[in-house]
Amino acid sequence: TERSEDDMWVLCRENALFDFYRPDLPRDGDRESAQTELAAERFDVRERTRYLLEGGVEIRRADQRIAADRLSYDTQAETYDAEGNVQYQDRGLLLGAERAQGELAQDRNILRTVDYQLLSSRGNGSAATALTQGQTSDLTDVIYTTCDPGHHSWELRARQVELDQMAGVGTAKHATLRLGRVPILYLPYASFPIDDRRRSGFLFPSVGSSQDSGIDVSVPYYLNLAPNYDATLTPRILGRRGVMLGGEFRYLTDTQRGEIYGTYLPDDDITGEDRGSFTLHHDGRLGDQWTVNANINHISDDRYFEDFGDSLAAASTTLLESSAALNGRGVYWNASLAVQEWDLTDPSIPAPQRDAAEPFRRLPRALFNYERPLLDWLSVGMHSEGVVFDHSDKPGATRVDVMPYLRLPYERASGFVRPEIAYRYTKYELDGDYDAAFPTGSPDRGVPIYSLDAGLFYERGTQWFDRPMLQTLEPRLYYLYVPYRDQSDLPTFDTQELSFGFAQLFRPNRFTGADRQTDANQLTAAVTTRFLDEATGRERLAASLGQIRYFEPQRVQLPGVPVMDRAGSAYVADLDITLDDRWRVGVSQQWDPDDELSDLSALRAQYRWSDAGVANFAYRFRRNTGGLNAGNVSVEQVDASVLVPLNERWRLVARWNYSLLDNSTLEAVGGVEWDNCCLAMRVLGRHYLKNAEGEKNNGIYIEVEFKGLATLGRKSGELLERAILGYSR
Amino acid sequence: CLLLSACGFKLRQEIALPSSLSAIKVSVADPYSPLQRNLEVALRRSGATVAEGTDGVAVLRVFRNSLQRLPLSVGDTGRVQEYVLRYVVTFELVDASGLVVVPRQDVQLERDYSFDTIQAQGTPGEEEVMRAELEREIVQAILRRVDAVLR
Repeated sequence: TERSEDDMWVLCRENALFDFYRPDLPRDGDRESAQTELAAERFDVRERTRYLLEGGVEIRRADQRIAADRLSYDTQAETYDAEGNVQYQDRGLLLGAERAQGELAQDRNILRTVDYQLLSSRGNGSAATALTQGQTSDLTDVIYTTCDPGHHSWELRARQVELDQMAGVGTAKHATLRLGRVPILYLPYASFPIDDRRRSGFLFPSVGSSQDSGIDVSVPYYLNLAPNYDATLTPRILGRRGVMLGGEFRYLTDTQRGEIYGTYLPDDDITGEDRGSFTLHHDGRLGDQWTVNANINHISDDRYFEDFGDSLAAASTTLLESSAALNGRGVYWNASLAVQEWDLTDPSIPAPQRDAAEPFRRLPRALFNYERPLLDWLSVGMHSEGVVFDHSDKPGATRVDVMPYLRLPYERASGFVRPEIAYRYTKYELDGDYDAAFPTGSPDRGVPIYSLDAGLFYERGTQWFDRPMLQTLEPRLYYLYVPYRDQSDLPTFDTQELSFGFAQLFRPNRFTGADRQTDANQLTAAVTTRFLDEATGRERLAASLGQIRYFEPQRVQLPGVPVMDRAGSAYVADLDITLDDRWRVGVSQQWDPDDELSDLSALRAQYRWSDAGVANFAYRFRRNTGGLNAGNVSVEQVDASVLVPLNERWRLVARWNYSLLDNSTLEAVGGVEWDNCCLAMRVLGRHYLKNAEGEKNNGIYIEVEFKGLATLGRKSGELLERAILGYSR
Repeated sequence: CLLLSACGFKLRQEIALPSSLSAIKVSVADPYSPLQRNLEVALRRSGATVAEGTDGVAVLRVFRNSLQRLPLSVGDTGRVQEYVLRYVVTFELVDASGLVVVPRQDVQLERDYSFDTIQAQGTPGEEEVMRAELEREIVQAILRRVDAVLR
């Protein structure tokens, strides 16, 4: 959540500027050529070269205003000396002082015992002396803060500070940062922004500690290189491992955009190895029809995410994709040419087995899809794919898959009928070293696919919680017929059974990839009903129920999986309710009538209150249905998270993810966030699964944000965003 | 009720678009995204003219278009067991005179799938199938809401 300037200061007092601030002074103008105006209640001009002014004295020139109780003015040298209640204002600065002296011609003013405020940011404080000349001010023995005057939650105390309004930067020498009254950091040199321009500088450091890595401190430095590219360098000190350097580079042009991210930790003190990661994302446009994208991911070793990832989600990543593609899209067609490879990075699987399980590289893969309506009720099309499969551990192949089809759609508001006839032909050229299981070097398979999809749309007006609703009732039938073809002579490269769910009821294949085309003689019956708010269109409720009836056994299977002979699939039911803008509930259920067991039960509920409060609860249960582990329960867990705004300053956050199957906490996070006008603090404790062996780790993370002191333009709270659904809206 | 008609259900009737919605400009931040094209195709199919400029035409504005893959469940070995693809589109429809027809709202669709590290060779393909389905379905979900308001 990138905080906007306005959000950041909501807890500050409104317009806490000094009371002598004059909003009507011009903010620009050339002082040299401007007239100097003098005003006072009493003028004493007895001396020719020296005027004495008393009572409500005021000097005005362009954007400058100097006011005092008494002032003497030397008309020849154009110098002044003011005392008593001195006030100084220019386009960027407000100073209150005991005494001021200056040379108007040189635009130099020296003020003593000063309180100051910046007008283009919230910076304010006090100084022993302030020397202003043009757009720069030099202050000595300075206190600087962005808090409300008189309520300093933090302050920077420095021997010397220079405020450069042209550049929008303040620089401090020999500075001490204090939290309340406690000095916490000495800085021989520090720079900070004094307006809201984006610029290079340090971002908020984060401090943490975990059992594994020890203390963990990141100090990001932002480089504002140009309006359309920037970089962030992040040194990260990991107490027991060493210093990791992270770098991020982002760029954006009219047609291209991307980011490059990398980390490097030379000679990890724990493992003795160099550790690191590299990521590149690029999206580009080449004219109206063509785009390119690249997505490269690499990590030094398979424990990288476990050791350096900051969330369970990151640590649990085990399949890393890298790809580069050229994509085209026209009115009737789309095409792509891509190279893709995957890295399996699961350290719990022994290396030889892991290499074997890695998905085949596609070097390259070409896709071409075409569909053209010939008449209102007739369209022709073709899906085609050519792939060269390559693997470090297994022989590869070249595969071509084409599927021309004919559709006869009849679509009306009241319903639709979509018959389709397709013919799928797949042919392989296997690499030389295939074993005896595949005696033919170039096997192929051709099979027709017939399907008929038909549905009706009923509706009626109704009421729900006193709101007019449109209720729909949508019965749908899907018939699929595919004759059996023996496919045991086809090796599998990118094919496995699709996860079962409501969408699967209407798919022409049970498998991903072209290596298997299911045989089928089956009919799906399903019905959906919805409640749509007539005024806004919002869907308040959607409920679906469906099942496939099989008229013949499914003989086409993946290697090692027995023929399936059953009368029907599991019943699939989905229910989503959005009661109002506060409540959301979703239920999914798959129930197998054969063994009278649930294959999937899921419940998710979300409740929001006030402006930021959110509570989530989820329960998931899944039993494997297809493949080699059929029948085993693979998931049973609860996940609850909550964000409680106690008042405008305090927020509590917590998450608990618990596996009922293993009686084990997967991740527990708890913490508080506290905000005031100029300071934000976040303290989080985390107990989480550390590695593939199921070991647990504990960590604590602290973030302190001295608002307005570090450079803007960086997110905070990323960890919470991943842990708590709805953390940011 | 046994018979649909007895409960007040009727077959849906064709509706004619009001003239203030006859020409619609689809405005997605990335005009080359599949969503832009799919919405245009679907609007044409339902009888609207797809406009190029924004002057004097209705605008279907998409503020957010985000399709993300997130881990849905993690096992006790710290490995992802299920992923969810979450597609969120925030949109509004304003007619030619600037009047809000369908107020700004989120449409969210989800699809989940099982993941097993040692049987992952089909996973990229499964995700591809689901992404394509979500891209089609989100268009239907948006048009359904527009349709409900117009009825």
